[in-house]
Amino acid sequence: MKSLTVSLILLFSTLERISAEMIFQSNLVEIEVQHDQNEVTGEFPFKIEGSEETILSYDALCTCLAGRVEPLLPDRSAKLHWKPGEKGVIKARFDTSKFLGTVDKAIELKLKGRDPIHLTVRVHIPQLLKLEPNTLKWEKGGIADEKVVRITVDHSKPIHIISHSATNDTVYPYELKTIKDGWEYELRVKPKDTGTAGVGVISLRTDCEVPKFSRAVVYVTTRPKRGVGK
Amino acid sequence: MSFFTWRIIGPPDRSVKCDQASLPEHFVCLATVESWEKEETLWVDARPRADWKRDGLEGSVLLNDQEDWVDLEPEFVLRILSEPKPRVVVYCNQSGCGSSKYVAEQLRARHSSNLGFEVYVLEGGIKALKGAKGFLE
Repeated sequence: MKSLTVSLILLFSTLERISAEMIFQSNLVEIEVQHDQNEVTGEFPFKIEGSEETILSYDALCTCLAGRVEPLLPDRSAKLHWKPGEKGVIKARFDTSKFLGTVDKAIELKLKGRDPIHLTVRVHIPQLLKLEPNTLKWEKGGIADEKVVRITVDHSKPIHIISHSATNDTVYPYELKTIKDGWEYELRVKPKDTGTAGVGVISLRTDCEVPKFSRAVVYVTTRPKRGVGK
Repeated sequence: MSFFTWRIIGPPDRSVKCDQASLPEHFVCLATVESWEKEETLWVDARPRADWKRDGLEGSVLLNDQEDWVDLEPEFVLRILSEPKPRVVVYCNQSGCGSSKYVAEQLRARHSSNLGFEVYVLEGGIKALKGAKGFLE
């Protein structure tokens, strides 16, 4: 009797789930962003199966993302009530201008009587300018040897370093060497000494047309050996 | 009625429920952070600047995905270099806002192994901190 009751509860809960569903082809859309793109749109097509669905909200969990339900109603407002068999698409417009690397951002879709659904746009943003490493470290009291940051361009056209400056170049004098103009550089730093702990920032400006790659920074520091104290 | 309940039982429990064992990798409950030495954590606020200015955690560093990374990162790096900490905890407005996850991933990719710190995302974000004793009471 007990197992029959459990089975009936499971059956009815399953039927309720099936009776009203907004079915998405996928909850995740991946996009390779081109270097000249500052904005991409992820599309989440859906179909209504079972009974009606009501959209309560579709909020982006980031100011960089804007959601939209299509098709729109004749008065250009969002269609929130959907009947069985109808098809639509939720579009997520993603402003990628501030981002680097791989980024996930989601639209939270709330439907009447249902748990929220997260529709995720995953973008892969190319790294046009690479600095390896981006921090140079020396040990306090250690050898003040020369260390090098390799700067390479991974773009369809050259990126030139047009200016540079530093916050502490009396302690951390540096030299920028051009290996292949527009494609490869070396930033060579040799501290005056390592007797005291210190920090410096070397800033680079480039002629890259993509704003986030028009500037770059390298950090230099002398630190005590770990576990020895400050 | 609720007034009397408040007076007799006390204010409602608004703490964020969190089970460390069920969290994804690199996510952390506030209770776990509380078990660490306070001086060993650097807090990073991944919310918009206006929110950080309004009620950011004391001593936190602003590092978000709404402003140019290159403008904000030096402040963080200079802080962690001048006051080395083994742990960095990032919070944003809510769970799933994505900003703290993004900031944590950037810090992990760019600095954590080189500068010697672990990066975590605070489960529940600012909501977990609000009302928590010793944080945003």
